[in-house]
Amino acid sequence: MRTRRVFRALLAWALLLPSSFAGAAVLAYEREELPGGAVLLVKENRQLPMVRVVVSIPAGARREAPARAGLANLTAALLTRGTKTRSAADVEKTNDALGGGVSVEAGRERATASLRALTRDVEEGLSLLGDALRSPAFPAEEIEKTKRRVLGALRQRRERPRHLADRAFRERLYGETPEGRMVEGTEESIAKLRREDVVRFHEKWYGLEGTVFVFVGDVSLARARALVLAHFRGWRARGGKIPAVKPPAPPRGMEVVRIDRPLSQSTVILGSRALKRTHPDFYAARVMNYILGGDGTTSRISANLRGEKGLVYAVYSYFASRRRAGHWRLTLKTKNRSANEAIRESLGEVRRLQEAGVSGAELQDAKDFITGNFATRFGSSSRVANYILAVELLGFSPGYADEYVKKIRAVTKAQVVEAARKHIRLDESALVVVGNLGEANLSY
Amino acid sequence: MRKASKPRALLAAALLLLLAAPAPAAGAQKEAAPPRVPWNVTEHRMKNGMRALLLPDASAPLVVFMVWYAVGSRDERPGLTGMAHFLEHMMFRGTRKHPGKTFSNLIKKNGGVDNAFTSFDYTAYYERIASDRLGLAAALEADRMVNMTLDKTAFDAEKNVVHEERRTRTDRPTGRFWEQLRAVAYTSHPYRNPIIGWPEDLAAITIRDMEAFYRRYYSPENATAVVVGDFEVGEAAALLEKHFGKIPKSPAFRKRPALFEFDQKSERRAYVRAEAQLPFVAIGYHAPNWKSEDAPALVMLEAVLGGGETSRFHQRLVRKDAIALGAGADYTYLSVDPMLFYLYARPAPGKTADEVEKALLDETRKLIEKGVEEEELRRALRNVEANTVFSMDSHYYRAMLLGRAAVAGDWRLLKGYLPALRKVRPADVARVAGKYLNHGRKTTAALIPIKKSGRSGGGRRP
Repeated sequence: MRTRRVFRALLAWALLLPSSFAGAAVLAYEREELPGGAVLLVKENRQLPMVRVVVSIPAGARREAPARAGLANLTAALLTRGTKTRSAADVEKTNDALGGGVSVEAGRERATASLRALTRDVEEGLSLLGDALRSPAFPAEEIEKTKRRVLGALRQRRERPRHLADRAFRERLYGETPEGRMVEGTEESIAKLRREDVVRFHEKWYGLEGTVFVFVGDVSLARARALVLAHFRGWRARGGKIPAVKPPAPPRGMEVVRIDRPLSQSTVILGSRALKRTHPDFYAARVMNYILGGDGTTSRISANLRGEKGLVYAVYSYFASRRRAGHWRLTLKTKNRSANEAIRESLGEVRRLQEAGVSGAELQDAKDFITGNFATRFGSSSRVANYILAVELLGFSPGYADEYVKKIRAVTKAQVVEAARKHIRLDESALVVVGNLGEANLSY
Repeated sequence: MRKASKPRALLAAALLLLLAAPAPAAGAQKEAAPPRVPWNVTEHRMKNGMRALLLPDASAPLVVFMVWYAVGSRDERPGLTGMAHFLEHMMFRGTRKHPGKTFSNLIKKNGGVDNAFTSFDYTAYYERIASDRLGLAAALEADRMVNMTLDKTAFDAEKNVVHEERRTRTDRPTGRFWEQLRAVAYTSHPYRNPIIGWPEDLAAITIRDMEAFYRRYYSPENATAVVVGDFEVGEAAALLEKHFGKIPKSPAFRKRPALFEFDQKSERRAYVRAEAQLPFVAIGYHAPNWKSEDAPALVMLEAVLGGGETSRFHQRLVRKDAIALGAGADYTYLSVDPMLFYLYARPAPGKTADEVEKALLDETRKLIEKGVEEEELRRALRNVEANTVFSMDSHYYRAMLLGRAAVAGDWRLLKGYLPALRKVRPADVARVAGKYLNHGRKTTAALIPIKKSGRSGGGRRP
């Protein structure tokens, strides 16, 4: 009796249309341009007595020369290691009292300073953040210590097969461009960095021009504006020339990189350069990848490799489509002697989609998930902050949430096949395998 | 289906391997006002013994729905380790009414995501979905609470998936390290077994074993539903009542066993030799959980010793002596049975496991002998308060905390947590350090890097 009722209820659910889209309301935020070329984005949410602040500064690894790889990262890391009025120990003390939520780190494109503070501590936090970003002291001994820490972390990461595979994959696709380098740099490049490099990098790139301030949580626009003006007014960068580095020629055919390690599993990455985030095909590519290898265990590749054959614990693919570059990749781990089969089946699924396309039902399911899921992804302040920052940096309008959903809904079957053919290039791809090569006995 | 997570003091996440975290705080401190922590939870009890915890939050149009079962690797019999986690995987393989992937497909069709996790004390399933679809998630979870099918083909394929999951974990030197430390620190209590199970046990599990385990533990009186998100309390309670309220108690249900760890009395040691880049050291002491009146002081001890950059370990090992890349402490407040209070450090390149172990013990001894400053404790409290609120910053984590507290004893533990910490005095911290961080409760493990084996020099063939 009971089960029958459950079943009927489910049928009803299955026939419902995807939930009405509430994204625009949840993701509505306030935007204001500030003097000095900065932008302020505020999303008020009084649920918890805390505020998350993200300051995104155009000071990422793109602005360092390849020979100085790691400079942007070292500079960012040193900002919280002492200012003109606070010793490194003072910064640590204040930061710990706030809950340890102040950090600055560099990415490929930009540096990101963040603060997470209880409402009671916001003023103290912004004061610390402003001081760290504007008036770092770069003490010589802190530079040495930080370098050692970065080197140690680099070394530790070499234990991780996924990291080794990712490095080799990026190097092959992107060469010396920022996308191909590690933000942390290399042992050689880090050793060469001097204090004056750091001082100069900071003077050139840290300032209000192009910087975005995001506030999410227990705070109003007026309060956020007052805090930014109080702690960042008059903050100026000198500016400079951004080094131009050409990407290498794409691989010819499927180039294979093998790294031999005494592991029980082989880690595999397969991929090619692909579209940027602002490319009009992005929406069709997103839908296509969902069907092929995206989002959990229901994709074609996961159903085959995991569900049917039990070859893997996790296999997935995605488009890493950014503002200036993009790639598509598939990644999996399997016991060494299954590596050939897992690669063969994955390639088979890619080709099947490229040749035969997708069914109407698959297309509809994909659209239902992507549009229905969109607004449910924003249940934490960091998710909301990252989303509205991305919209701003990509140059989309604050109402982008609606636009996104409309564009996903408009994707056709023909566009899906086209996206698969155009944006997954097995003829210009890299295949990286890290594992016990003796056991794997690769036929690729 | 996917992860077997390790619990942590009160807050979820932050694996032990992350060497930077919260901690003692700073400055010219006046007494900071306690943060407002909104646990406005409604508890609903059904006739069949199932409980529901409802926490409304209208700030986003979603709900996180979880069903927690009071069963984990703790409840597995010898020879059948890994059962709870393997069963969790099989719960995604369908029921009579919704075979195969129907469950996940329906959830995704409706814009939701679903997953599950297994730990020592619990197994939990969740959906994150638009708030008007709570009924769908509830209907599906109610169905698989009692109607899971165990098909031989799916069972065998899924067993291989779990073996792959285990390989992923044990290919990491630190994965094997924590496994070995627990296996030595516990002699009688099943916390000695990895959540994912020993590979031989996993291989031996049969469909019959699993069926029995399922019938015993997957019963409404052993389950707690947690809902956090945009809903009206009365409506959500009625909805859960509709889907779960009529499920009969399982005749095979029996409460999880009471379990004990033998009194240790003298110290133990484990070595893990592996191809690792750097050594690692951890020391685990048997320490009581929330059930002991010493627990709040142990939380503060964790913060003072190893919470963050001004913590004693970080200041001594990372800053002053520069012998470690990171150092910290880890204590579990919410658990069914007492777990280990860990001290740990990652030696800097060129430094040894021995050196950092000595420094950890030296700092601990100093704290026991000389005590803790009032000021130091106040800073640590500010830090813990902030991090407790930060840990509530998502629907998912609030649901996690509610579920963990409910399984460990009572969700109201969350309400009492910060007030209890405010009552801890400096003398309490030194006292519990002396009482629990001593030889008679101690197991030390060291990860010793070995040279790479065979021809695998990390070289690359084009």
